[in-house]
Formats: sequence, C-alpha cells, structure tokens
Amino acid sequence: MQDLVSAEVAPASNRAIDAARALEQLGFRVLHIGPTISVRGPAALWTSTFNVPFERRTKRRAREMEGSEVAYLAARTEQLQIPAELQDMVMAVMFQEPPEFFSTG
Amino acid sequence: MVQQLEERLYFEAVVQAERSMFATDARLTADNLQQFAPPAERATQAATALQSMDFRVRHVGTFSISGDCPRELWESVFGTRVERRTQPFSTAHSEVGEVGYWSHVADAPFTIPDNLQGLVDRAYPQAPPLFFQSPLPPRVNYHHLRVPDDVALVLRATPVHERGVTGRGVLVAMPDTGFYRHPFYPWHGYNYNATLSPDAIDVDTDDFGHGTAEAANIFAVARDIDFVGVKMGGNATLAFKTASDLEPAVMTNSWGYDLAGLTTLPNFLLPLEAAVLEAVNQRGIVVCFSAGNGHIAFPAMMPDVLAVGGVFAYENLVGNDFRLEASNYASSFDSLIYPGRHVPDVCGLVGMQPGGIYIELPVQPSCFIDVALSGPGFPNSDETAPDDGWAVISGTSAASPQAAGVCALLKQAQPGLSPRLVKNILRASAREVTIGTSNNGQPAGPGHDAATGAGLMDAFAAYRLGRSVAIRNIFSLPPPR
Repeated sequence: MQDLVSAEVAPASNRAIDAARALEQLGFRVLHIGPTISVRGPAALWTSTFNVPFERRTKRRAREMEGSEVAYLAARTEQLQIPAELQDMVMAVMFQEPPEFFSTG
Repeated sequence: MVQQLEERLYFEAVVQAERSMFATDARLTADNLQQFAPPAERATQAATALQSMDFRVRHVGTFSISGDCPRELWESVFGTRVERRTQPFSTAHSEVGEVGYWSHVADAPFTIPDNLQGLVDRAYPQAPPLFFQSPLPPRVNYHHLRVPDDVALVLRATPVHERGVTGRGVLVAMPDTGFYRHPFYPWHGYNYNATLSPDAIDVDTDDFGHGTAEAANIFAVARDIDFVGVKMGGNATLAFKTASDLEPAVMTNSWGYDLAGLTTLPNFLLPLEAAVLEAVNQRGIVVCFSAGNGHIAFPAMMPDVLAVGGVFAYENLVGNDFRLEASNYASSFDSLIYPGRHVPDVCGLVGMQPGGIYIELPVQPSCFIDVALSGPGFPNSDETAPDDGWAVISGTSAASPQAAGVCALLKQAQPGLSPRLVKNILRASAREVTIGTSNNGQPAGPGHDAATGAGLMDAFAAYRLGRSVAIRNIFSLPPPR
C-alpha cells in the first residue's frame, strides 16, 4: 500500500489551473483549488519530483490523551527543488502535518 | 429487575451449503460471501422441514433461517440443553432493567436430526443485543453539565430560544475527526449531517470520537441550525477549505497547531492562514477557533477569527450569576506572530484541571475517547463505561462550538452581521470573570482580562444587543459637504 502524502501548493499569480493540470500530469491527485492547491500523492512521487525525502513521525491528536498518537510522514524540505516544468507555475510546496484537537483527557 | 422473561427460544438455523461458513479455513468477506451461499431452493426446503416440526419460521434468508420455538421443542429436537440467562437491556442505563433469554449449555450435546440433515448445517439460540448507546447519558455523581439543557442554561441561551430564536435557517460547518450517527442527535430532532473531506473515508464513523462529541455543544445553544460536519483526512487545511466552500454562516474549529515560542508562522501553515482569511474576509463567514488547552494555538491567534477560551461555572450562584472562574485548563496568551493580538476574545464553558471533565457528550461507542476516559476515579476518569457512547470532557474544543451556537443565534436575528460585528457584539455582551488563572498562568480580573478576554459569553445579552444593531450601507450615508 502506498504512503500517501498531502501538501498545499502555492501557485503563481493566475496560474492555479495550469499548475493543477501540470501536477495531475505528473501523477499527483488534485483535491481542491483555492488560494492554494490541495494535492496528494505517493511519498515516492513527491521524492522523485521535488527531491523531498520523508521520515515517519507520530503526533498526539490530543496532548492530554496518552495513546492518541497518529502516524504521519514528515517531509524534509531542505533540498526541495521545484522541477523545471513547474517553475513558472508553482511558487511553493508546503507539506501538511496533522492538527491537535483541543479536548480534555 | 428482569423486565422480560422470554419463554420462547429465538434461533438462527444456518442452511447447509457446499462450503460451510463454519469450516476452520472459512473467513467471510464481501468478496467471497457467495461461496458460502447454499443452492437456491435449499433454504425453502429447510424452512418447510422446520415448520413441519412445529418451529415458527419468521424469515428465510440466503444464509440462515430466523425463527423461534418453545424451549422444550428445541431441546428435544436437537438433543441438547439450554439455560436461562439475563443481561442489562442497556449498558448505559442499568436502571431500565434486564432482559432474559435462552442460551446453549456449555458441553451439552447438539445433534442435527435426520430430517434436517443436508438442510441445516448448524443452529444457534440468539442472545438479545446490548444497546450500547442511548440518547440519554448515564448518571455520574459529580458536578457536570448535560447537553443540551445545562449548557444552554449557563450560557443564557434559553431565554433566546423562548423568543423564537434558535438558529433556524443558519448553516454551521465544522471540520473535525468524524460525525457518528449517535441517537442523541435524531432523538433531539437535530439536523445533523456529515460529509467527507476529499481525502477522508467512512463518513459515518468517528473512531476518535471528538467531532461527534463537540458538535453537541452547538446544538445545545442553537437547536435549529442546519449542521454539516466535515470529516478530516490527513490534511486539515483541505477539510477547512471543504467546509468553507459550503458557504456557511458560521464555522467552528476545535483544533489547531501549537506555535509556542515561534515569532513567525511556519510555511506549512500559510495555506491554512490564506484559507481562513478567504473565509472571513471574502465569504463573510464567522470563523470560530478554540484557543487551546495550554497551547499557543494557531489559527486561534489570527485576528480575523473569534478565539474562544474557557470559563468554569460552579453549581452555586453568587449574586445573580453562577460562580465563574477562569478555567485553568484553557489557554490565554499574547501572540508573538500577530502583534497586539490577545487570545481569547471571549470564553465558553470549559472544565478545570486535571482532566477538564465537565460536559457529558455523545461519542461513538468504544471510540478512543469513550475508552480513554472511562472507569472510576473522578477527576481523572469520567466514571462512565467504555462502550456506552458517552464521555464527560470539555477543553476549549467544547467552547468554540458553543460560541458557534451563539453566533448562529445572532445570524438568525440579524443575517447581515459581518464576522467583525459578531465578534464585537459577543465581546460587548460577555459576562465578567474576576477570579482564576488560565492554563498559561494569566489572571482573570475586573473588566477585560488576560485569562478570559471579555469573559463568558452571554447569549441573551448578545441577542438583545445584536437585534438592534443597524447595519448601514456606507453608500447611503450623506455625501461630505
């Protein structure tokens, strides 16, 4: 089973549709187009396209609740490179982390 | 008290198939189910044979036949013995009583008679189901609040309801962990709906339990809203955008990111910031965020949102209000990222440390929250069962949906209120909280204070203030001389 990773992609001004199309052609799935583009794809595709490796981490969904950890893939973006075919259309790629939920425990 | 003693034995007789579902290597799945189906007419033949033996056949299914019979008939036909057992009707309400049923005696023989050989594979007495969940919460023996009535009472929403303002016609959206179809919601007649964020699955489940629970706080304050919960997948920003795309009047968010010590917003949160700004400033959505539980919470720290902290209301009155104290579970802070921004703006009802166990809320039975807080030992546990579909919790997770309910009341009374005006009305009408400190050590005090902002929301005062606000179109003002 593939590890799927989500990111928000900031498009260049007035290039959101073009960026979304290009990302789809590269094999990513575009889930939403708004101020940023919500994109999801296999970790391996992110790595090969943007030079971004991942490491497994866990995070508590609720700080006070032991056992509420959720696992996710954290991107290491120090060497992130936007490929040439996207450079006119994509300004930034921001990988998402799970949020915390503010209930008691 | 045994409420029912069933004299009859209720059974399922599994029809003989070429491949038995009881074989040691058998495991039923959606893909292989038909492999265990008997030939087309065999179920009817088996049912006919059972009827000829004076069993009452209730249903002939693909795989099994449902029926009932006197205990004596069962024992004589199958050469076996059964015994009477009882169990609670509901694990949530032992006071309702117990139900009796017949059950196979361990190690007693069981033989399929000759005239059922080749027709019936096996047959089992059926135990009644346990009703794990109830629209009524279990009783617990410590001060707590129940939904909807106690939360509505303390937030002073009840007199607003009596004036016909209940949130009718107002859409409230909530991205969260999931929205299980707990009987609490339909039994109260609430319009409770769920949808998926594009990266989420299983719209009807909430294995963590958080969304199902906290949504009840909205309805407590505004019972007639139209509610849609957006179940999150791995991307909270996407869930927020999905909710925003529904163009609700109000959004509530009981989650965020802890940015303690940071002076700039991490890049990965810029998309969420953009989505929030779009929702508030371009779509006119009132966006509520929980302030956190000791967290330095984003997006609650954004100036554009309504940041909701926590106040604890005791049972006793002091003067004409409950004794109110800043919740030492809830956050308050001054943002290092947005200069001049203090959190919270106003407060909802939140419990106190150690566990914030305060508001009894519906959850998916046996979900993480149901189990994690169950058991004896208040205030560290909530003294409910781990599978009864109820948990006593709070946190500022509860406060934000309470605020959303108050916002919904205002939006019914005055649909044209902008998010900024709603916030100003809530701040202007809040009740002062003068004692206690927040989780971050900031004190409450006279007037607006660090721990509670403007104080505890007052739905009735907010309504009376908001209904008289005259929203002016600047283009209708007289031109300057």
